[in-house]
Amino acid sequence: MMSFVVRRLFQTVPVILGVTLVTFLLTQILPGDLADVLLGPAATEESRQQLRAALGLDRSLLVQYATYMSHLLSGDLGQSLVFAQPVATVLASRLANTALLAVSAIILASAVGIAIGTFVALKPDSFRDYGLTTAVLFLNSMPPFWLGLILILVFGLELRWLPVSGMDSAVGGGGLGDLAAHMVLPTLTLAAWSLAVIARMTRSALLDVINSDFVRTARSRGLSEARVILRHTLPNAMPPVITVIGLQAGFLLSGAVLTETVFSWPGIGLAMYQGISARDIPFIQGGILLLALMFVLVNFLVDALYAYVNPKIELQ
Amino acid sequence: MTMAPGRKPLLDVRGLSVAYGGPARQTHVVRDVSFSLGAGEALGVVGESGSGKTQTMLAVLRLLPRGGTVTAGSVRLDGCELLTLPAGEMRHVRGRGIAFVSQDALSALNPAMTVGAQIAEPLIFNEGMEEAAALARSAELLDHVGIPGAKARLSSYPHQLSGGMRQRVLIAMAISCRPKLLIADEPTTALDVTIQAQILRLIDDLRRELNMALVLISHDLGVVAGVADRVAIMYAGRIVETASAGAVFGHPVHPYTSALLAAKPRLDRPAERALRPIPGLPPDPAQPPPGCAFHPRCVHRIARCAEELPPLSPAGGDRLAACWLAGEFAESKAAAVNGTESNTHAGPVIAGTGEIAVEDLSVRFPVRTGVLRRVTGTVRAVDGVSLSIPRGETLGLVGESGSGKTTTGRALLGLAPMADGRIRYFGRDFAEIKNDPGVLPRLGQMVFQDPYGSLNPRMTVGAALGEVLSVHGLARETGVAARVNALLDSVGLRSEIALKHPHELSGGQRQRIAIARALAIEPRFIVCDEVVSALDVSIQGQIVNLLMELQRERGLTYLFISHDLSVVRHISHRIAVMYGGKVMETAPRNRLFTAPRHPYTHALLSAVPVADPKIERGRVRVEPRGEPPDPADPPPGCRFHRSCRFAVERCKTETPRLERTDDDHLVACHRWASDEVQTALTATAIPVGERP
Repeated sequence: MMSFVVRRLFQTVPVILGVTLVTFLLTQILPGDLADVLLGPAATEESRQQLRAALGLDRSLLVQYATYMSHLLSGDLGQSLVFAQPVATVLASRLANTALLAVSAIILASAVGIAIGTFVALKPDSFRDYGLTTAVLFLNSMPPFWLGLILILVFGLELRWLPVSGMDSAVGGGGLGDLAAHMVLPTLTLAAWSLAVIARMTRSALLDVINSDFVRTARSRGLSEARVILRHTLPNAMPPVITVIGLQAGFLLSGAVLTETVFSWPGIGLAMYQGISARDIPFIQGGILLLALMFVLVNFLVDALYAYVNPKIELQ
Repeated sequence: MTMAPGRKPLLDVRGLSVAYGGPARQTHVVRDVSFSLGAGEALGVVGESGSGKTQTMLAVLRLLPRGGTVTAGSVRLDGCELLTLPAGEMRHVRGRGIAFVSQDALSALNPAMTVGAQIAEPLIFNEGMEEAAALARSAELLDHVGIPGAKARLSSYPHQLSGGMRQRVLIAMAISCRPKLLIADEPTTALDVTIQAQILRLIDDLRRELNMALVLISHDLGVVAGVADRVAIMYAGRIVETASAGAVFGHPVHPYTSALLAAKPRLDRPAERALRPIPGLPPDPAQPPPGCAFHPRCVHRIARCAEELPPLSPAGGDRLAACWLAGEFAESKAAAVNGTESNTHAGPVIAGTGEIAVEDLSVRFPVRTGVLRRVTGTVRAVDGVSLSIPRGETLGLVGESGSGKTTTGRALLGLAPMADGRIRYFGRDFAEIKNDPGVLPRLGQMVFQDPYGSLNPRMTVGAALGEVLSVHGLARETGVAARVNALLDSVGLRSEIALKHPHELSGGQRQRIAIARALAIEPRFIVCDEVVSALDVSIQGQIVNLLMELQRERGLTYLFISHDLSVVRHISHRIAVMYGGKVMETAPRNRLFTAPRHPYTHALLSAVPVADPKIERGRVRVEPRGEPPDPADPPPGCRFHRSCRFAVERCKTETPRLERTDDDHLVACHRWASDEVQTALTATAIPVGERP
């Protein structure tokens, strides 16, 4: 298994290089350049040329890419215009906020989703199956921002149980309990959709595996139904479920723009939205690079998990 | 079947019926099946696919797949009714009372658990053993079923073991809680003959040693003959005949039993000109014919057979048979089978020499390993093979899995990369024509084992055949339909079939379509790769007869690849035996069986089961030691030397070349001419049986 994981790790190198190239070229494709953004429409051609020279924008593409890469390797992503801070600093703090939300949401969605999927798969075509599958379908088809607004209305404004925006309360805030209270609604909103997808995938994967010969072998040896399901069926049904969880984690980590906006959660999604609105090119560039790296990371983790779940994977 | 009076049966099944689907559209797959089994007794259950043999046994274990229900009957183990037992107590019966071994051990073992963890599981969780003790016991069990280095094997995953080893692991798992009854469902079907012989002997030894009763399910009468005390023959969900093994094989009473016995060519008897397959197809379980389900295919049917279902009733001795004419057949010698044929094999109609000649053919595949996927080794799938097939003749190519026989066949059609060697193809050099799509496919075609997998599921039969014709420009648009009809006619199918999709056809019909497709461009040479292996015995003969008929009519040349020696002997003029990527021996077909010259051929022949309990019981098998060589790391010298009982120093270092003997064999063995080998090999590998 180790050989496979190491091989897989090496395979991410060209992907990451490709990502840097694409994010670099992105700024070339966008109309206008950094000098236009900085100086505004009223600037003279002469001052624009001066700034372009100062920023190195008049050099060849290859030289610009080399400069970009050397800055990147030393952790310098440039200066954000909107946030008036180094891009790296803004991204780091925002990423932590997004990750907090995304990781809680994905854990919640996986745990509940796999549990529901397993529960219904044990009695397919029963009342339990139809009821829960319909409920899950309902979650699946609900837009997250709408669910967020409903949750805010019910739990925040009507019942006044939970705070509805930001990460901490202005007065008497800052404690762990306060943070947790702020996390409840956005986490639920984010988890809902993933939960539905994971539950449905678990159900169908489990129904496939439960008819396998080796499950029949386990039963024929008098093992308890709990062991048959937990030890023999579930682990072998996991590969497609892990794939789906990985995809969901990728989306959530890249900042759920709508959810973060609805709850004013200071995460990547919200920051990217602000950056794009202001044509903050260095920030957009850094943000996209970060998101792409998150996807690469999550995919790598998924593959490593695969190798763990399926001992045969090394051969393929 | 009746037990000796006063003895209580271990397992007693009465009137068992199993159906699938809801009450509105119920399809019965098992109908009113009754049998009983004493402690330590071995029952062989024989039937073709869909006969209900596996479903009956799954119902006994209450492990029917979803949708299947027992609609009537009773199952008693030691007098205790199993069908109404609470689930918790039924679990207690499984593993301890009744254990189950299924076919295809690869899918029957959990791929994500080590062998040790799987064997030890019920010991820990049902028997309450400590983990260390359970693992130690697991190692003992592995040792018991003949797995070398048992302790080290505990941490292997199933995919890391060979097919034979996996089946042994499955058997070790089944006997781990000392069951009273072992149900083995086609335990050797996916295995090579030499491994099959080993596994059957293991099962037989274990049941005597542990005093287990045994139910051995098989489609192969030969497999059952050596092990079973009693035999039950199933057809269309019912037992049609049951008696002691000797009575069923020696003097079958039910016409289906006779027909089944006659459908398979017997290695212990002289070859016949044409096989005697059972006409027609087994009935659709959703719409069984009225009366006796076999009557549409039966040559002895009378009016009553179509109207009234014959009950399973005594027919002399301990025999039960479900046939209106059972009384008559029991009196006479046996239910005769249609069309007894002469024993001579017709020679080729169009004779010629060396039309396909292969010299020193080698096919190698790279092995990539490690982080950088570098080529670290070579699989020598085919390693210096020389063959020749005269025009209009059939060369049978036999060998176990991994011996390189399929790769050889593919290389002859340019479907596998040729690393070395020369092929002459009807007088032309293969190197010149292999890349010309207009030439090679017109000379040689292939028919594969799995006709379902080799036909496009979205194309009708007519479209699939028409495509071949138009791609090769053999018919204009208007002529395609007529040509398709002619092709279907030549393989014995009606023209309506052209409008059907592959899933609407039976296995035998699909294989006829695959043959029609190969014939479409009128090739001179056809590679038949295990073409009857996936078919039921009663259908196999139909396909073999068709191939032989086509050969006579068109002067086709065949390379007939199969692991089934009896079918190969029947169809071939000459037979080549492969082992570890090399040809060990070639000989005219009868000489190969009566006087094998190579120790491997002899061992292979002695492993083939024969459908006659008298022969099987008295047979001495020459089991080759160990398993076939790894083609990625072949041993130096003779490929067979590690398993050969005659090997000397020279065999370990020097690769033998094919030598011609004075009786027209080609043998690759340093020692074939030595007195020791000559004497040992005169002991017949297959005892000759009497003709009924």
